[in-house]
Amino acid sequence: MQTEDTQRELVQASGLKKRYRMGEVDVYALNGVDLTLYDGELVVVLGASGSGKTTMVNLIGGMDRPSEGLLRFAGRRLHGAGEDELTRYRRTEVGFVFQFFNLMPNLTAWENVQLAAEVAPDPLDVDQLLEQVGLGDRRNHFPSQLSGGEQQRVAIARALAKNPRLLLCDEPTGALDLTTGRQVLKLLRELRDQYGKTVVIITHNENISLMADRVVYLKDGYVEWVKQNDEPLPPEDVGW
Amino acid sequence: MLRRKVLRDIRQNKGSYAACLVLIVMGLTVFIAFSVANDNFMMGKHLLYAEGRFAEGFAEISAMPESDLYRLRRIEGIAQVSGRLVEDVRVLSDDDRREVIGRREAGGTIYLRLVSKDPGDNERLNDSSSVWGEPMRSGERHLWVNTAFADAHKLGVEDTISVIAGGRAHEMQVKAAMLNPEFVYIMRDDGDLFPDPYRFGVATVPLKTMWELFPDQRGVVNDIVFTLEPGAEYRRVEEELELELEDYGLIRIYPRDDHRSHLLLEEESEVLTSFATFFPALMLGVAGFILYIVLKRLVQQQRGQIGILKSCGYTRGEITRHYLAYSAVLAVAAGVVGSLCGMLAANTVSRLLFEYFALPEVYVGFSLRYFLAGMGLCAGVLGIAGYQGVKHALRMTPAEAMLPPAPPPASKTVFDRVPWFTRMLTTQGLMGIRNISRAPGRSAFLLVGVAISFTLVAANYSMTAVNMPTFLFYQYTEVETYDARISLRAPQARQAVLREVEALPFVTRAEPIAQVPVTLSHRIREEDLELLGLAEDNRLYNILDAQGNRMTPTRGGLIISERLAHNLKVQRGDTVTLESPYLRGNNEEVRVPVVAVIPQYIGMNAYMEVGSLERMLGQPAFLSSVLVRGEGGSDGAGEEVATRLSEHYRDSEEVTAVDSRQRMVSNLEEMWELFSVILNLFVLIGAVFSFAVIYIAALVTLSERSRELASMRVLGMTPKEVFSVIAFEQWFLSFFGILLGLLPARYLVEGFATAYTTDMYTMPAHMPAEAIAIGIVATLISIWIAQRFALRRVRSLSLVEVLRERE
Ligand SMILES: Nc1ncnc2c1ncn2[C@@H]1O[C@H](COP(=O)(O)OP(=O)(O)O)[C@@H](O)[C@H]1O
Ligand SMILES: [Mg+2]
Repeated sequence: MQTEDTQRELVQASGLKKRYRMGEVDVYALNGVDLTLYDGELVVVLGASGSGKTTMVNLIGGMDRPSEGLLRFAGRRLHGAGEDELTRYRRTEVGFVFQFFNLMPNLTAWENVQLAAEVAPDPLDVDQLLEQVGLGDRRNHFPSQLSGGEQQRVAIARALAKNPRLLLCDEPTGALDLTTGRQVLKLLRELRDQYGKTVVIITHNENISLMADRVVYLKDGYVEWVKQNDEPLPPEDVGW
Repeated sequence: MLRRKVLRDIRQNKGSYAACLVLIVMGLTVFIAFSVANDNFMMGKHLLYAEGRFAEGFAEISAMPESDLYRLRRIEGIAQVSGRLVEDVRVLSDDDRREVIGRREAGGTIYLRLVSKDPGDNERLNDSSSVWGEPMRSGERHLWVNTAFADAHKLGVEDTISVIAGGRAHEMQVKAAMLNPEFVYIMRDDGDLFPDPYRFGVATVPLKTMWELFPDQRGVVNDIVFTLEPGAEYRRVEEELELELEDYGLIRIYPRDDHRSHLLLEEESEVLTSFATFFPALMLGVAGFILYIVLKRLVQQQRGQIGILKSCGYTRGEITRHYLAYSAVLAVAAGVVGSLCGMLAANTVSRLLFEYFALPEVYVGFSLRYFLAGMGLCAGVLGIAGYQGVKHALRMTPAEAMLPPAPPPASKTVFDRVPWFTRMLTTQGLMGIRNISRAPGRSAFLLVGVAISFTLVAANYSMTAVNMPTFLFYQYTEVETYDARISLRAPQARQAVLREVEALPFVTRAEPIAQVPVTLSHRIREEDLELLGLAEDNRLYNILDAQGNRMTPTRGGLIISERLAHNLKVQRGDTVTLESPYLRGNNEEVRVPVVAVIPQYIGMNAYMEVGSLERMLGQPAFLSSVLVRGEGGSDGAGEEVATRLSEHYRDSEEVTAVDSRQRMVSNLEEMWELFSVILNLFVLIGAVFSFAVIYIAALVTLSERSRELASMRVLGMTPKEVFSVIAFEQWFLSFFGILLGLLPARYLVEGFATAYTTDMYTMPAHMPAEAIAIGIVATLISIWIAQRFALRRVRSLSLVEVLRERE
């Protein structure tokens, strides 16, 4: 593994805060996060439920705007960016994978991936992606005809189709059983290795962090610690 | 606790519930207002008919000694007979009162139809009942006038009016204002379109007085009315009566069903009934559908909550009742408000009706029956819609309810079988297409909604902008172009009259019309009508073909109206048989060829060159009316000519009427303005309706698919790109909706035309291309506007919020 200072910085966050108004009081979902993500690394974000993981990833992915703090992607300012700018950012740079897949129910597997490829300036080949996630023969199936693991693999292919630099996965195994969960993790790892994407995986399962290059631990809206993993395990060996 | 949840949920979705509420209230209001008004109307009718002993058969004759009436009573099947003397007279309105009324007598004459009344006959038919005033005394110069005439002329008890009868003016004393079953909807003749209470009224006069006013009719009656024995057949009685009346100069016999006032009364009631059905059905249907969608969505969103309720041990029945409570709240609120609004509106509608129809004014205040009917209707529609909406979710087991929903099943559609078509589409387009088959109910809603709105707009435009104006104004602006028309009591020598009229200083041109009552027959069909003889160089009464080109009155044959051709089943070139009381010589009838068929919207006539008409009949040159063009030509000047003619002939025994065409046209324009307001309201309803349907469809799609749409936003699509899925779906369906609306629009126009077409009136049924274009444009505009609104909702879709929801 390379050392930190030779890696290129992709995302830089400093003093990142997100405030929600709950009735009369303000609640800080994020309360001053400082974090840097580097090109090509696989980061696992750990934290208890409600610690702000989703909020942080949403900000990084341009789904939402920070209340305070600075956020840059490859030098481009995301804090203070307008709706159109964020849309353009999501269109080209970020791929999302969710716990509950969020596929278009009335598009086939192939069409779901194509949907993302269509809007991107430099998409990957849809057929090749589907082969790669192991669904070459199910390309004409609708989501209702696919299992949960298969749906998640379509979602991953869809996230990747735009050829983004950053892949954000919010509890991608949360709705899956052990074996299918492992397959999905393995796939994410392979894709990272092959395409050199930066992959962020959110989980509250500590075992998964063993496969990461770095582990970020969130607590009550800030980063409590970051750990470098010198010997990431292959996903097959990760316990559950 | 659950009750509190109902109220809170309703508050959260208040837009949709409010829309339901408004629609139902509107629907119920119209239902109750028009049903109650119709009841009032019918009750007034029954009262008047019963009280006045309304006749079942009518016969007009030239003259019959009153003492011969007993012969008719003997006819089998006849229960009662009354004989009356009926004469139209001119009224001289005195100048002082004119000032009071603030209305100049312009462009023509005021007429009263005097109907005799035999005070000695206690069983007389078609009897009047007074609204205010005193009884009349036999032999006195007393009369009762109809209420509208009394109002229009501000007449009270003991006021006098002078009428011209038998060539002399007579002072008559008004004793009362009356209602009469025979004169509920009062018009001077069949050619009139609307009542003009100032210009025409009806009065009852004691029989003896009538005979004094018309000395040459002393002792005779010229109008017979009769009722039938129970079980007697009208046709039989008519045959008998025809024989009996032959010698008295029978003009025509007709049953109550052909009586004009009665006919219009019945038609009005039908209109009220259909209005009370059609409009509320539409409103309640749409409201029911909205509720169905809202509840279905609510239940889907609350899967988890339902699971929890179930796991707490709530029974299915309890949960069903909980969700049906949403309907119930709405039903009670809408039912009460709608019913009460309806009752209030009923009085207004009734009052409007009673303004046009002279009936005893009956008002039911609060009608429990309709209140219950309204509540029941409302509860029924909402109950069914509500149950359909919620029944799905209730079948789930608690464990199922707690799981995230499986992706809704989808499959390839028929469109997928057409590869070249799907290949043309973007992926958004493809989603749109598939959505159509995924939600067939909502797609049908949109399709039908667009079809209905297109139909309403296109049909209404055809009627308001094309057919009605043609119908109303063609006859009096294109065909008839004189300033004034002088009607004569009896035919006169043509040249003498024309010379006399033309010699008047303010007259520049006078033309003859010879009006001949004829019966035309062809094979088994026959029609009674007026044959008009026109001068060859006519300028004031034009015969126009379908393209609007002038035709010269023909010497050799008849030009007939399309309606007449239709009734007789004749075409150009056929020969018809003509009978007429004017026919002299040995012939009972003559055969005449039909040389042309022309459109005629008001009246049903045949035309011929006047000279050859006279030769055919064996008559010397005569005329029955004079058409006059005055100096100055157009605008206002026309009414002036009519006024001066009217003054000039005020004491003439030969002139029965002077009519101003301009006055008629401006009357029509006034009525038309009123009428077009109502019709335009329908266009507006059509546009609002399509807007609402499309907006609702878009909103429902948005909220059902918010997760999908948000996912697309996450993929980096712009709101416009995301919305294009919905937009494509809607444009695609709208295209077919408009196609679907074409035929109903056509039918609606034709139905409207048929409803208004009688032998006297022919409503054209054109639906020009511009009506279709306007229908399309109006529909597309309302779709576009509705989509702009919906697009705003996509913009404000919060990605984080939507995606964190677990549905
Ligand atoms: N839209 C919101 N409105 C109010 N509070 C929110 C909202 N989103 C998140 N929060 C709060 O912010 C905190 C962090 O939420 P989240 O980032 O979803 O945590 P995690 O993904 O780690 O479980 C929680 O306490 C949550 O209640
Ligand atoms: Mg989370």
